[in-house]
Amino acid sequence: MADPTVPGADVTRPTDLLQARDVMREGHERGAGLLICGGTTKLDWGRPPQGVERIIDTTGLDRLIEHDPGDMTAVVGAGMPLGQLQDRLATAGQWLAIDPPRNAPVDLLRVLPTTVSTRAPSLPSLSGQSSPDQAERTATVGGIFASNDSGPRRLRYGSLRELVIGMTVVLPDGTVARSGSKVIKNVAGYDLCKLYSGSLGTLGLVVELIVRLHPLPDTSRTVRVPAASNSATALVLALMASPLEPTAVEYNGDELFIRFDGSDVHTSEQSKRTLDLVASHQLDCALIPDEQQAALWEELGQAHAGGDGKSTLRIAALPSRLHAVTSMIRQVAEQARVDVALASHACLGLHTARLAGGGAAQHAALIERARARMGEIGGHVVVRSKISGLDELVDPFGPPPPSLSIMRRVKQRLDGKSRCARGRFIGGL
Amino acid sequence: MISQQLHQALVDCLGPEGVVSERTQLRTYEMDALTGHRQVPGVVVLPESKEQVCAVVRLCRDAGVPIVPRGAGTGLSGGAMPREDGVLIVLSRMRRILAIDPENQRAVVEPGVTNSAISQAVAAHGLYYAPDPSSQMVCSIGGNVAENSGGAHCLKYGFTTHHVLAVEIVLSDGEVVTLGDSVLDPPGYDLRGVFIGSEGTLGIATSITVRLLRVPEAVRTMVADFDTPARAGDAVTAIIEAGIIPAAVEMLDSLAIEACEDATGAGYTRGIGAALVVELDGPEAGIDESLAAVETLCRNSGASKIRLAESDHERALIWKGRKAAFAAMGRLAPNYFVQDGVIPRTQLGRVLERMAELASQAELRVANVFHAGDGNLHPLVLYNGSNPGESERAEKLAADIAELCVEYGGSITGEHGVGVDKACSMPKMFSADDLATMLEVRQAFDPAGLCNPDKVFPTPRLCGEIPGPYRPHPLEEAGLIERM
Repeated sequence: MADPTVPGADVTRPTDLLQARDVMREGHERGAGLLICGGTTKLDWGRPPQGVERIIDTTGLDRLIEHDPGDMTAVVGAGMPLGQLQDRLATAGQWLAIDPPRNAPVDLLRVLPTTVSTRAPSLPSLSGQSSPDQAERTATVGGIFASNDSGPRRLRYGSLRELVIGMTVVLPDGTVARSGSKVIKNVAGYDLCKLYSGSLGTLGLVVELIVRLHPLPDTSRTVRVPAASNSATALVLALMASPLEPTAVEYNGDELFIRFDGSDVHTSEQSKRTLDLVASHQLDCALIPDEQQAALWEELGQAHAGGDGKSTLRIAALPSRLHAVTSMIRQVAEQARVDVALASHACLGLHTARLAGGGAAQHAALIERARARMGEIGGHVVVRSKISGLDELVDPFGPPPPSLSIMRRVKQRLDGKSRCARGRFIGGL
Repeated sequence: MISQQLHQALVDCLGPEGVVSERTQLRTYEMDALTGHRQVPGVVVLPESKEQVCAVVRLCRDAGVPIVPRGAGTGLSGGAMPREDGVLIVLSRMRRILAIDPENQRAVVEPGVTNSAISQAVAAHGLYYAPDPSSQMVCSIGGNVAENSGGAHCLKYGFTTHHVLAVEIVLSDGEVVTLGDSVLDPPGYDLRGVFIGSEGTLGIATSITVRLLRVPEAVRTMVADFDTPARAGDAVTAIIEAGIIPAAVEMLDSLAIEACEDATGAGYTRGIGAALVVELDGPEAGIDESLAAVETLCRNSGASKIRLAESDHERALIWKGRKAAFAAMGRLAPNYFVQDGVIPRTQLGRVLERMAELASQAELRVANVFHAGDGNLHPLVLYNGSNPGESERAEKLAADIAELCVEYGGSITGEHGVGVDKACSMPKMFSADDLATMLEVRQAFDPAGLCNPDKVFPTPRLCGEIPGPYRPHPLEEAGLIERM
């Protein structure tokens, strides 16, 4: 399956399940190392994989295999770019209800410093005319699933983990295994989809996903509230305790943005009541004009994006700790002399800190300080995108959880030869 | 079948009041709510703490004795069916609520706490625990985790897996680990997601962190009458396509309506083909517009009569009628089997037709109540166990119906679990490779295979040497995979 047009390069781009199975099986006996990639936009997440002999490019598995608008489900090839899928679904007034940020593609040579760098091509020179140029690659559905990336509207719809109802995966030995089904409600057998979500391609090649869809909302309305982090925290908790049903609540350190989606009556009533609630907190607020909403949410979403010469941290804490996380990040940024922009999915307790300026050593120092402070705040810090040199200085996952022993046994059982992105995952799995 | 030595060790560990070994008392535990399968357990233990669970599990590990966890025993698939040579670990004494965090809308509870006790404990904060299986008054949260329980309102709010953030478990080797976290996205594999719905085969949950929701401000409930279930099904599709996600959509067919009316007088119209119960909840603003839209969509699909619950009392009565469906079947026949298959919603008409054919071939009646929003059918196969051969015919019909659902791209079980009841049907839904892959994961949690053996997966012990007639996997038919 090696690409004949690139001498010495072992990059393959299967276009169907049969090819995917053969590609995975090849070299299994000798334990040949694999790296699975789609849009390559999160290729630097986790630790650098070791011993990669073959890169599997999933972008050939890019078909919308089935779309059943009546049942609001779709079967989609893992390599399909999310944008393409959304365009197709939109024709039926539906969408896969996820809105993760768009990261720039990552240079393979950065991720694979030693193993195949002398012969690994960059992806644009791959087989097949339809293979996308690396610079034009965007996140695929499978890649988003494998990284469990999510965006502001996770508050309402959950992450892709909650929307995937079935999966076909190829294990390193070529075993094709399915779990789940085409129906939303199903408890037959183990829910292996959960295991693969966020597994960073370390347990096998996800070939197809069955997803639950939602109708595109008719209208959106957004309320903007300028607020310091302590008053923002109080407002967020008041929102959560109120009957309001926001689809997204974002905080950028200065302003809180509260979004509602749905029918015109629903969003107009909800935003009105939000204005009342905000007023009762002695804060100013304003409704964002309709024509500015798309650009605003683009910006708020992209505030969580990685790459671009920055290191990106994902911090998770309880929603009530918004102020604590915000102050902590400001302090550690000052101590480490690094510029940090913090964006928060406030009601979810998920924060993205983007570190700009300073070298790897400074970023590492900041991360260590932040981790130490999370002990008292409660939660964790995971490093996502990284500037060069950071990999050598910090563990992206932080201290391993007590369940690492089970995770190790799961990896051992499903990828006994440790072929899939060896060493990339937590605890060096 | 339990050695004197192990028995004594259990008594030493739990005290005599924590160990049940007297034959008549043991019989209390011989089955769960799947009454057709019975087995008197070797011994029953009633631990009161995580430490006691650990101690029991370690003793069993050392003796190589299987363990079967049990919550309230309301499971409908025999997931808590004991082993004669095993220890049944009953968790109903572990019923403390350990922590409530109203601000962050979370609670930590022990596995024996009942589903509705969680909601009661947090009601003062205006919060509740969303998944609501029909048995919620008695079923335990530990059992809900094991089964990934749903309920009437899971169409809008999701299943147990969407509401449980973390689970502390005891593995079959006695190790205690926490899967998941009270904050989102803890690093590592989502073992929490694998554990939920694993039916007690991966370990025993000893503490559970749940997410709570705010009690909805407004609720509206209506009943629409239709000529046929297929038309009612069309209305459901239209409602959901219109972007309205009802809190619940339930359907009763004519036979079920008869039984429910006889039992409760809930006010369903007798003689119609199907009644559709639609409940909307959420903010007061906009709910009546959504309700009007639902009404129009029902009428467009041919609803002959629509009744709106005018009071909480009337709403409660509608639900009483619906939730009494299983119990009311006694009025139609002495015995019944309940099935739990799921189909893509749009296939409802065709599946019901096929089901009617199967029923008439078997010369049996099938009443239908179902969670129509998510296509989860609960066909009730009616029979008289005292007629020779009828129970076998009914059991076969029930299995055929479950497998019919798979044929239409669905599942053999939507919320009741596989247990012993449907283990032999698993090969209809999954290939040998699919099942082998799940078993690999099981091995990672429970290498010795002591945790609830003979559940979920087909075994020769359960299904005979060949686990059910083999149907080629779609990938195999397509020449993509070979049978191992």
